[in-house]
Amino acid sequence: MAQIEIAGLRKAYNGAVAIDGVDLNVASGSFVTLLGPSGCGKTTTLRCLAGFITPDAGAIRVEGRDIMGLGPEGRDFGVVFQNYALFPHLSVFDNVAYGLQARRVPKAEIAARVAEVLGLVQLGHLKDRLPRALSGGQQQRVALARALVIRPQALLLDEPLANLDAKLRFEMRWLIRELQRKAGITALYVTHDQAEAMALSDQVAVMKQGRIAQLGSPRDIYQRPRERYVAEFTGEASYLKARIAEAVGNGRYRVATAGGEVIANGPAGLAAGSRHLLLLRPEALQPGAAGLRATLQGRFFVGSAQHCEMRIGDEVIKLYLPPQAELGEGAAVTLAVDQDAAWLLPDEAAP
Amino acid sequence: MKARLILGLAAGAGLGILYAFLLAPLVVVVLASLSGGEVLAFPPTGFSLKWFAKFFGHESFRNALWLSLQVAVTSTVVVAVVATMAALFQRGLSRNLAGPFRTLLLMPLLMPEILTAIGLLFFLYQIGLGNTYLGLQIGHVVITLPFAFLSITSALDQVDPALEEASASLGAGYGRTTLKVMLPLIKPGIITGGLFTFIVSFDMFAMSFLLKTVGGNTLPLALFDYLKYDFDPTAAAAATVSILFALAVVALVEKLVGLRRAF
Repeated sequence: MAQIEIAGLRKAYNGAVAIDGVDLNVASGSFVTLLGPSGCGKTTTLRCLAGFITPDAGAIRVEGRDIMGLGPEGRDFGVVFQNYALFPHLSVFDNVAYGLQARRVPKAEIAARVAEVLGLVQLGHLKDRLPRALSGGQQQRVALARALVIRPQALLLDEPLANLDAKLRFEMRWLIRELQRKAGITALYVTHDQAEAMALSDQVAVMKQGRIAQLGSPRDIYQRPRERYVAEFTGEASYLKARIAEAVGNGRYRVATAGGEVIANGPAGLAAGSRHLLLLRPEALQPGAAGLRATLQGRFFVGSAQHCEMRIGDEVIKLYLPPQAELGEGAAVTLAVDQDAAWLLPDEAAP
Repeated sequence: MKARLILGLAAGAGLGILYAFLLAPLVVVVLASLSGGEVLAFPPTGFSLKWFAKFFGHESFRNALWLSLQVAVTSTVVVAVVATMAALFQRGLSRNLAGPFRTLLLMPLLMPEILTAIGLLFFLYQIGLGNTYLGLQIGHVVITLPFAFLSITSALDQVDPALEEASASLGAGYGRTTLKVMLPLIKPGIITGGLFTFIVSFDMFAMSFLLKTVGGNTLPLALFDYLKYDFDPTAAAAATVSILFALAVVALVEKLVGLRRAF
């Protein structure tokens, strides 16, 4: 359990900048996720923290103590890898015991601690198997146990669920969160899966081209993104060009769009008359009595809902309708906007 | 479908002929060594083990066999250790240094053995090791090192770098990671390399011919000397013994690791 501070971290490979000034504070016991597409620098940041690569500049402190001079073996972090990285020649028991043996923990204590942690991940009965005799999910649970058993300062997880199928990924999410909470351990998690990031984290850092674009709670980055990139990366999103008509409260505005006027939230202090983008999440829209005037352009049935595309002027937005809704293509619909889920973004294309 | 069948048959036949050419001499030699006749000939006339008795009764053959074994076993041990260290060292080098290092180590393989031998002969005389046992041993190590190095580096290339990182993150230093993770994982490569070393050293001719000590023949040299004056099946018996030793080593490796895992 420890507080981690990353300041001004930079790393370039042969001139190609991988991370370009990452600042991040991970509070003790919290679960923070680095979220972003491949190449955004999230894995590089984690690998700098683990000590596998040396950054060109910046500082990393654990509980205020600089750890840049330490190799990975001295940093006391439990690392979980995307491809599990279990020792193929060692049994499950010996894999988990490895870190304790390196720490010269007495044999009896090793046996007890390994048994305990294997119980936590429900693999006690497989302790004599070799990794290749385990399924992917079981291997990842061994990897998790191996990282936890050393009671490290923090857990670093590099896309640990990326190689698992959808159902297992879902189960493992719960397990990881539960183990992290139970141990009260600080965790830094790397993923490109926004749903995973939001489900697991206390804080999500969305990364863009080697920097953190926005750090916030899952609710914050989903509902109040600071830029279109963040909105795009955190879930399904549609946008309408909007002009602020007037402020109607603190951080609340009446805006004009091609489909009519609506009330929306936004950062405080936006000037009347300025151009913005209105972010509409699909679940923020419902057919209603008053709101945006739109035409149904197309839809498809996915079981739990119908995904629809609506045309408003020359713009298209997406929304979900209940499966039983009967609407023909070309039908005119009025869409009520959930005020709390409509959010104003800077219009990057506007002058 | 038909074209595929014909192609398959042709490939099978080609392989059969290739193997026939490779294995026929071995069969001929082994059968000739069991001949009851007085000259080295095929097909053998009669059956007898007397040529083996004569081989083992011959002091120069006995000494040569012993020396060959000594040199080959020493080469195997030395080369296994040095090649493993070299392979691990190369893994730690950056990409633009690893290439030249590899080329340097494989150099003896790229040059004709006789040239390496002549060069080494001059060099060993310069440093006072000309025609000594140590000089001969050095020559064998130089020639066999690349075989073992190739086999060990290819095993090492199969090892996921994440395993080293995992080991380090669990608190293990370089020594523990090498001993507990790397060496067990490349053991088949080391054993295969040792096997090549033993066989190449045991059969080596040109290098031994130039570097041998006075009167100290290895088995291939003793065989060569013998054939200069005698032409009886003892030579075939000597060759058969040589083949049997090679097979024994292969069988030992099979028993230790299983060849399927070693290759």
